[in-house]
Amino acid sequence: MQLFPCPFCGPRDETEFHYGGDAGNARPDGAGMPIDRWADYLYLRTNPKGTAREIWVHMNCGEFFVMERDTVTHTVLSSTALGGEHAA
Amino acid sequence: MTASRLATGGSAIDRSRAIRFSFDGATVHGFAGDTIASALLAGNVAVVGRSFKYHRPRGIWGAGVEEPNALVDIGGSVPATPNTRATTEPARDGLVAKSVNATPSALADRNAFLDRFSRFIPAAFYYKTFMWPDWHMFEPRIRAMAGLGKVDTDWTSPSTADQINHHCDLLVVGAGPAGLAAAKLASGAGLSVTLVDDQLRPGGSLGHRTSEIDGRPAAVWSEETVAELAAASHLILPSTTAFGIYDHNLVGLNQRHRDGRPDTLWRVRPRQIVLATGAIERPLPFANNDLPGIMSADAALAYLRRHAVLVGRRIVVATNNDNAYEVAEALAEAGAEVTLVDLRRDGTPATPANVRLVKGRALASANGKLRVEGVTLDDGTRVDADCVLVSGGWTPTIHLFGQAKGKLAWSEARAAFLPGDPVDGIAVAGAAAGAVSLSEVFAGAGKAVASLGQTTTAVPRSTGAEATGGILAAWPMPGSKGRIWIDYQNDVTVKDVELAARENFVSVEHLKRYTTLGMATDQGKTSNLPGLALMAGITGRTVPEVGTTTYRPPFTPVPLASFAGARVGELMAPVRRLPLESVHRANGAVFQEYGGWLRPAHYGGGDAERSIADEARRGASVGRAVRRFDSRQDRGDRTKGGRIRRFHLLQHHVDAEARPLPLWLHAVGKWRGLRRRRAGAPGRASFRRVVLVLACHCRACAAGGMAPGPLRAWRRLHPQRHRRNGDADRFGAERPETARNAGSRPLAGRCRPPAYGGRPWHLCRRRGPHRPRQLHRRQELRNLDPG
Amino acid sequence: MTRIYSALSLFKEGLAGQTGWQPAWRSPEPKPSYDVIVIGGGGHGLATAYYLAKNHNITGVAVLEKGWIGGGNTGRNTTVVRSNYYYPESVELYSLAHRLYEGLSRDLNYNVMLSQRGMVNLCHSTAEMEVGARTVNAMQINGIDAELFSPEDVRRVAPIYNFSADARFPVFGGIWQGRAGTARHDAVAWGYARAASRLGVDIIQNCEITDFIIEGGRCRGVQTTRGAIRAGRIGMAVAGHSSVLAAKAGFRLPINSYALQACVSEPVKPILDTVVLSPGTGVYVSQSDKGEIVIGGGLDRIPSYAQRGNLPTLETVIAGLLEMFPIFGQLKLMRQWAGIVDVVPDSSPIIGESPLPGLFLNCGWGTGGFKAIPAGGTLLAQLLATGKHNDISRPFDLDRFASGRLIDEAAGSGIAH
Repeated sequence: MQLFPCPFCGPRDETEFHYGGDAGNARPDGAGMPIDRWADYLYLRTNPKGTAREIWVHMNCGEFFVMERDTVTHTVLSSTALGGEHAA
Repeated sequence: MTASRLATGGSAIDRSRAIRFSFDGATVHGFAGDTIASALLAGNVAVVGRSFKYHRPRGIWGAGVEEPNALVDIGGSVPATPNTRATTEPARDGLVAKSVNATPSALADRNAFLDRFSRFIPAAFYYKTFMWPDWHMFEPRIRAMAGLGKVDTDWTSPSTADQINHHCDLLVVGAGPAGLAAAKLASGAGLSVTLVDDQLRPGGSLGHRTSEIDGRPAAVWSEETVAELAAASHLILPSTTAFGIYDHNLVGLNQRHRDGRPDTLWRVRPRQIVLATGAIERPLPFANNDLPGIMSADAALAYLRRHAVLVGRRIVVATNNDNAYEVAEALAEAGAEVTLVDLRRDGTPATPANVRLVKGRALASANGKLRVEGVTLDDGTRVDADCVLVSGGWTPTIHLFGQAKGKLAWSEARAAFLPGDPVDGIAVAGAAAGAVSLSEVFAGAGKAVASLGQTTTAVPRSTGAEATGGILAAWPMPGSKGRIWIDYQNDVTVKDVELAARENFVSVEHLKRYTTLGMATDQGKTSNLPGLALMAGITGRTVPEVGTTTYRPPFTPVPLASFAGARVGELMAPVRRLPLESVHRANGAVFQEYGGWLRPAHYGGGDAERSIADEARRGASVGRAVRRFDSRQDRGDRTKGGRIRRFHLLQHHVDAEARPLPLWLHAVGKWRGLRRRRAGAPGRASFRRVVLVLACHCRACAAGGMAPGPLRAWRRLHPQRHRRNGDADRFGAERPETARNAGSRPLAGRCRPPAYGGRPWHLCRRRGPHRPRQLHRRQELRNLDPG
Repeated sequence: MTRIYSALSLFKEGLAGQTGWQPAWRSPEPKPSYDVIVIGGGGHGLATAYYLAKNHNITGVAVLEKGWIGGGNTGRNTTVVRSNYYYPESVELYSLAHRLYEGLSRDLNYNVMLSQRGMVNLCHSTAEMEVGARTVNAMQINGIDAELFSPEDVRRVAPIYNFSADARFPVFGGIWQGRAGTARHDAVAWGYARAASRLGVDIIQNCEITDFIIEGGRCRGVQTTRGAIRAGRIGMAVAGHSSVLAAKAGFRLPINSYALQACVSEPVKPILDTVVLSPGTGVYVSQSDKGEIVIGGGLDRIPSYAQRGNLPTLETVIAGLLEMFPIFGQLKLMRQWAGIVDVVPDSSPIIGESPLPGLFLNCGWGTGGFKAIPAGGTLLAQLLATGKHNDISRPFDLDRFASGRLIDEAAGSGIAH
């Protein structure tokens, strides 16, 4: 059981959290965007082995935040509210 | 082997409370405090089971969790449990134990003949044969031979297992000298300590090894320390195994109870962990080293001191290290005739009193059929014996450290892997860290808790004789004569490992999977290290170059029920229930789950199809109130499946006067084409008025994945919308619109069976053998041809 | 030296003390160049090498394995072999694998112990039964030996299921595939390795890829911990680590890595004869020929590369198992482990040329790669040999994500991820 630090609630069990995808996967802007770019946005993932930057949601408080963690050792490096405040 | 109970002694047993249980049909006597194994030994039972593959006789090897041999199915006065280790299971009155993998009994197993064919069925033989004509021809027989214990098919769960979440500053795993010292020091530093130990009584080796701590006998010191910790409100859990370290140092504990309750699962989140898990004694390699009557030397000492069981009269103790000397001395003192055979020529401790010491010799083989009758030394000397004790050195119990991804370091001096680089939050102390003397153990314990804070307690001091760690490694050697067994439960010999090496299965993980070495229920606690040392010898590598297999939880098998806990039935997967459920039930409703909701499928027990059909008919004649609105009641139409299917109506009978039918419902009933019940249908005499409960097809329910349900429930779900729009309007407006409801399953969950092609599904079913002609379409294979 | 495996050779070797067996596969030093390199010595990689040699007569093949062969998901799965998929594309693919499995032991001269004891996907309500009936019809149209089972049929094949009236997941029937079953997972890897090695394929263990050699925009070889190795075409079958190698080659894949856990109980005498999957609990279970109850469940919910089990998922899976088979409450868990699987948005594999020309992919099998090993090998071998898709593998090309022709098996066959 991993402990994830919610920037608002502190360390909580992993079962309270839901994965929200890669951080920084910005939605392409504009209607004229080529289809490949849309496919990239929708499907392609960095899926790093090691340090990853991800969006998570703490389902108990409902807040989204960015968490940096290691996908091999499961060490949590940082977690920050989306606006940047409330670093935990 | 003529083992017997001594007239006095035994720190663990209570001679005033005799108990009786049965093993393979025979009655076994013991005392409270006995394990099944100690009582069997006291009763001079040598053969307690059969091995997995060759059905060789199996005797008791150890006195703890490492036991590879003595597995029994237990039942009777305790809940049935297959494959229970006799060495850790307390003996209880009325318990019924049955040897595993043996028919009819361990002593006379009818599959024992397999051992004579063992040369033709070596490790992994099954990959090389049974291909022609087909594996399916052979599999049933082989499958029937597999497995150890038997599942009791009449078993019912006594109750659900408890699960406890627990937090503490320090978790100490193992209550031997290192664990007790660490707990004591941490307690002095003001920390909350949890101390767990897998034995029935804390103390570890202090319970049977002679030593002196702070001027008192070790056993007294350990009892005092436990009492001290308990008085300071620390949690002490005996009979509890730490079976796994998971992410972020969550530790899983399995606590066994003696009163028949299911085991308890503890999830402990400590700030710091001290692993004081001790070490496990290894066997020595010699031919027939698996015969019943061949035991771990340390276990024999434990049985002597704790249970007053002398394991034999004429005992050979074979060793390559200093630790067996104390065993030999104690057994001689207890009245046995002891021959001590030490592999080492020099550097041995002083010869114990009344013990014949043979230096520089190893055992070549053990003799006997169903139990050991003597040994042959490597110079050809034969020594008669009814029990052979072996001590091949100690394997530190570093499983938990390995699970926590700790790196291991090979120690030539100890001939074992020790914990290497430290892991955050985990310290290893005592024999698990390679300490031998009590002074080393206590120093290690002091270091392990030093980082946690200043302690007011003095580090315990060893004031008696100190154990020494002299050892000359004795690994199984390639090219040895005879059948030298490495994995006792899975029947893996030196020759099997050689075969694996010959066939290029030299990686330690390949070795494990190819020969099944270390894959038995003991997970190789006694066999892994000898096996990989042998592989190192065969391939000309060092032991650390060969490496270990990955340590995986659980350390010892944990009941599945512990993991499930209270998550049984609806607590495992909750269902949503209707407010009117009790009314439906009172009217004989049979419920089904529809998309997470429990709803009535039909009324009345018995055949579901029939009930549904009957009900549909009843629905067509729902009483005076409805009949009034049925303009076609005299036409005598017979209800047909196609019509019935159109009803979006569920009915339930309530008292006529209490709930008059609302007007809108009459209207809908008419619009729906309600019809009078056919003449002659049952129930007319006791007819009552009926309230029709309409299905809810509103968008909210459909979008939420809910099956349509009674309006009354819907009314409670959406009170404000309901009020705003009015029932009739709402129903009219919210007819099924989503594709899901209107398309493939328009009436899912209503009072009718789903149908395909106009027939209910059970009639659509196609039976009989599959048709290979249709399945093996050759043209598909053709376009794979290279040309 | 004994080359052929048979009862007779086993008998002869028995008389000779089992000393005449050859290595199951050779372990040669890597050559500086090959016709084809296959990265990944799991089932798919070894099968690819075997079919390259057998079907296409290309024997200048090296299989490069980071650790030891069959040590990834091939050695970690729950060994289920089945082809009861929903969409025609998937059915073609998994049927091919299933047919090849049925002849595999004799093809490889290695008993992979394909045990076709049947598999039942349970239906827990009339609504699920309805869907089940539709699925069975679809499968039968596609030529799969699927049958719709009544509760009595389920009781016949799995009498120890919880049929009590208050069962949380009652049985209304099930989807049965009689040809489904299990195979011995290690034997599949070793059998392919042995057969490929005998056809001249070099199997090189402990050889990790550190980089790709890219010249003129085309993949020409790999840098490894054992030196540079060049090849005309390169195939990659590294389930769980596909994204890692893709990053080295300079592209991204539509894959997330998750841990999938499995566990076994202590061995007991035969009690469960078929593979049983319950969509309600998300648990699938069978009993191995050794007697262990083999238990699988859903994915861990957290992207990870850590090949180890954890507690919350295990607890859920075991609770589900005991709901299905309460009498297993008397058993004990013996071993728990995890493998890292490639999870693709549409739960279907990716077979085809990568964005880096000369590098071909076989990845994205999710939780179901074992059952597809012979097909994955056959199809990747054809791609590597000819550079062209087989009709069966074409729909699974990487381009489906841009074109939108996804094969959404997660919804189609109700598989557990």
